Amino acid sequence: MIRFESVSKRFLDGDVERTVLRRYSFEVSDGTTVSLVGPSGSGKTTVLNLIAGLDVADSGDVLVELNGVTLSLKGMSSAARARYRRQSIGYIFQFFNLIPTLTVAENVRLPLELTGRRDLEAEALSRLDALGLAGREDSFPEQLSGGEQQRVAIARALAHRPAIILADEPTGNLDAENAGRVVDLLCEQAAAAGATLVLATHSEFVAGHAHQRLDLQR
Amino acid sequence: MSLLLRAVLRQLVAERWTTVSVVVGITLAVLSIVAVHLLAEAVKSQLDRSSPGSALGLSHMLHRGALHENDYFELRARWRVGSLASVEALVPILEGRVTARRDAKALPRRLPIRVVGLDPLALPGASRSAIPSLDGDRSWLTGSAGWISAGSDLVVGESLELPNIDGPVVIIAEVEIRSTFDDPVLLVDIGTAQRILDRPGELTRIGVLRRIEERAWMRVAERLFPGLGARRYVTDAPWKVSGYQVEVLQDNGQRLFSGAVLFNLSALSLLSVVVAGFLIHQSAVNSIRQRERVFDRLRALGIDERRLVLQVVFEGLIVALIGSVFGLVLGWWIAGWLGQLALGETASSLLDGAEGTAIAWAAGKALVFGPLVGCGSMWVAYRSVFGGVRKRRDGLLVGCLMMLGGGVSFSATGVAGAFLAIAAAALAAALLVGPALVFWAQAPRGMATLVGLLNRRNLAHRSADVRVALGGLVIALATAIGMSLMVSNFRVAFEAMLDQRLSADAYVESRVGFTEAELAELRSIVGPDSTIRVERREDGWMRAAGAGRLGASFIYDAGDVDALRRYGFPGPLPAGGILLNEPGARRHGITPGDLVEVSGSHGTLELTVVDIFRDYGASSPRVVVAPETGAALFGTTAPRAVAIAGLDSEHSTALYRFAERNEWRTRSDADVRSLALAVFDRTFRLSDALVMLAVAVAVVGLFNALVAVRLRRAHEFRLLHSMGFSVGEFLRLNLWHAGMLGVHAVLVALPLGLGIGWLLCGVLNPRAFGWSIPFSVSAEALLVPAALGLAGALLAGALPGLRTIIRGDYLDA
Ligand SMILES: Nc1ncnc2c1ncn2[C@@H]1O[C@H](COP(=O)(O)OP(=O)(O)OP(=O)(O)O)[C@@H](O)[C@H]1O
Ligand SMILES: [Mg+2]
Repeated sequence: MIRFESVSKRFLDGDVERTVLRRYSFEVSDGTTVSLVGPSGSGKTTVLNLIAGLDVADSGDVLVELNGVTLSLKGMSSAARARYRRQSIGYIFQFFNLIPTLTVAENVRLPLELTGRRDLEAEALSRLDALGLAGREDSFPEQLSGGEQQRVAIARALAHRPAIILADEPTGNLDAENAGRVVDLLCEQAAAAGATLVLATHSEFVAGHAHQRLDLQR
Repeated sequence: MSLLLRAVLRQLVAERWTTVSVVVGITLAVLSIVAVHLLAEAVKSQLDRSSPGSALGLSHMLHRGALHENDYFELRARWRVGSLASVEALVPILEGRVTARRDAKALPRRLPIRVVGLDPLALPGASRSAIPSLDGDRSWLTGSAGWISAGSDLVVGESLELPNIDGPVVIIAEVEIRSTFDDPVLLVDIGTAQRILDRPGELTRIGVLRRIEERAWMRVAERLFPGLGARRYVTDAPWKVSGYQVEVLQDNGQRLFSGAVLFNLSALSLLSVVVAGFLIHQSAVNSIRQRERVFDRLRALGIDERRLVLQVVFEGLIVALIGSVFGLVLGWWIAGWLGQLALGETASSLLDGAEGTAIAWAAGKALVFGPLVGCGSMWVAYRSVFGGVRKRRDGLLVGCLMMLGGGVSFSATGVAGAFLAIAAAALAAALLVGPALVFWAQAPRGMATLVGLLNRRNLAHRSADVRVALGGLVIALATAIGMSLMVSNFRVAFEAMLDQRLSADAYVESRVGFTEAELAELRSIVGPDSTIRVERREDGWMRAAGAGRLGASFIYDAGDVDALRRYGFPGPLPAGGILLNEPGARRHGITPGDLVEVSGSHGTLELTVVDIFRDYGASSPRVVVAPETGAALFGTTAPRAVAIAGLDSEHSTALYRFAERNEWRTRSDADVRSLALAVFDRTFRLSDALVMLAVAVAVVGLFNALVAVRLRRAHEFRLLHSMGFSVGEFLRLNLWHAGMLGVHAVLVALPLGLGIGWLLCGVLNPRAFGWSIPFSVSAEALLVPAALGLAGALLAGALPGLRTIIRGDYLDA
């Protein structure tokens, strides 16, 4: 379960302070797919970063319940947040999701090495087949198309069985056909793994795949 | 133009880290040029002052048994008709000892002093101005005033009562005179001295200033590259004046030696400039590649290539000018400190007194070298990004290897060839460092973690961002290794030579030669436990087959095994055999076994060179012959030096007193030895400091390159961050990358450094100065620069790494 308790987040833009989130609250239950919708600059990425512990709320708190334990992200040290991220988060960005100097298979294995879960290797690599990437294991990211790269990113984000998957415009630079395929696969795989999926998007089509919808205003 | 300027300035501000590090690099490089220039000037003026002729600025003394004023006038007449080539001044000198009576209050009341009379107006101009109030206060002309040597008990303003003259002599100022005696020296007009010493019309010697011919372009070259003209101190013939014994005051050997040192320092200061060029080039390449799209857009807008190049070169100019001005100021400031390191306390006063021209030259060099390197490397960088320079690498490499081979194998290429060979080796290594890095990083290895694999692949993947900076680091480290190999080997050989040569306790010289009676008296004074070795030295000539006649000095000692061991010869000398010093042998191309023709005032002989001895600091041929040979060449001559061994302190006091009474020069070999070693160590501490500067410039360059790498890896870092990479892991990642680059640089620098060390010892030194240095490898000379390089690389990696983490840059990307 992810819960925002009247979270505020401000950024300094030069000398001007900009409030992106003002006393924002919501709750997402485990295993659901949530879409985060709003125009550019409304704070979608900010919300994802707060969930991932990459950013910390200025006031209010982000609470994450994992295996019956509730973590208050605000109270955690940066090292503890890094550990939490490593174990429980799979993050998919709009682009540059893969490490260019590692092959497809190596990119997928990387989170397993970081979490020490080598036992999940077979499962993670077999997911590549399910994502239609059979035979591309030894390719380097630059040899793949944009859609293929995003599908590898899904495999990578799911590899270590994280409880939460965060996807920030995962289809932003794909054509409609590819975008549909990637979102379908993402939702399908997340549901199969029982993970909570938070999908930031400004596309109504993508938002339509979710169980729950959160709207953000500028 | 104003738009161009604005664009350039914005660019420099936007990339401020790069800008700052380029400025730092240029500052350090210019600093070392300026400091070396000012120091070279200081060293030269110190040398001019420290010769025994000293403040008088004289180069030779002429002696003969009894000397009268008329001899002086006769010599002046010869000079006027041009028979004394390159003589600039002739000064009559009378010297003697008297006891002076001081004021009632001063203690001690009676003081033995040495009176030196001369004609100050006959001195060369530079020395005239070194004597205070010479032209202002003319009371010295009437015999009522004189100067005192600095550092004595007597003070300015004090008046002395001296024998044979009426009024007191007032001390009007102090002069810097190096005296071999402890007594104060009173400098007065020659007429006054003749009256005080009661020796009317008499002289003890005639001082001479003789200049080595120097062409105008040579003077400019020497200013541009101090030490370049050191070879001019290699003289062909000893100067002879018929009817006189010639004593050489300005020791050309010492000048050659310090010229050699300055030459090294100049080369090292240029090294910093070269490394700074690498730094600028790397940051320019990285910054231009970052802006590649911007340049494409500008071209699409119809802006022509010339204007784009102009913008880039202009950036280089501005940064280089800022760096040069900083470097000039810091160099001026630091020269004093470096000077202390090299010259001792005298340095700061020497630098304070630096003349306007020296400062102007230093400023000129700073403001030319810095911008030249800045604009040049920017231009080359632009061309290499947009012009495809890379294709020429193989050709460049072949050229380097040819230059290396040619410079080493053909000794006719001389110093320039040796220098180019070293530069070619360094450039070749710098060109190879990038491909070698890729090869090394991609070499198959056993199981690795993915993070390890990622690191290793990045080494190859990002090699273009760092290879030039890495080349700079390799050159700086290799020079550090080569220099420290050269210095450590040089020191060992130099010390061994001093041990052989300076084994006596005391060394006594007579300008006119010892009589048999004086030698007998000397023997009785030093006691039965001491051994006296009589040294005979004469000037003659030698000629090797097919070569011209060259002046040489001949040494013929007792001829026993002990005397020969001083020249590293185990032997007795076989009949008809001689020893020749290395500078002499090199200039004639002589090897052991060759026949040479030697001639002296009494005859000519054909003799065999049986061995060649090392003679650091010697500028001309020196020949060791058996006493019989010496007699055959020069007839019977009075020995002019004796070396005494086994002297105890009681006898040595007696000896010094006796020598002083006879106006003989004495010195302790042990003192000379330790002084020579101290000077050696101090000087090379300076070269260490300069090498450190070059390494520092290289580390700044690597830092700069790593900042660029970090910028390019920002996406990757953001990803890793989202995957739970912690601060410590990022730091480790950065350190690993930098550390591996350091290891790689060290691995390439080690063989290159060994090669440079060998070239310096075996090729450059023999060609430049006529002496070789035996080459052996010491662990310290390799390990210290290696450790330094690694530490520098880690530092360069840690700084941008920390910055990334503190500012969280990987999130903004
Ligand atoms: N590190 C930061 N420093 C300053 N301002 C920031 C920072 N991160 C985000 N902002 C600002 O916060 C606001 C919200 O940003 P955010 O990236 O969350 O929007 P978004 O909804 O994801 O927009 P988009 O659809 O364009 O990705 C923006 O105005 C942005 O400029
Ligand atoms: Mg966003």
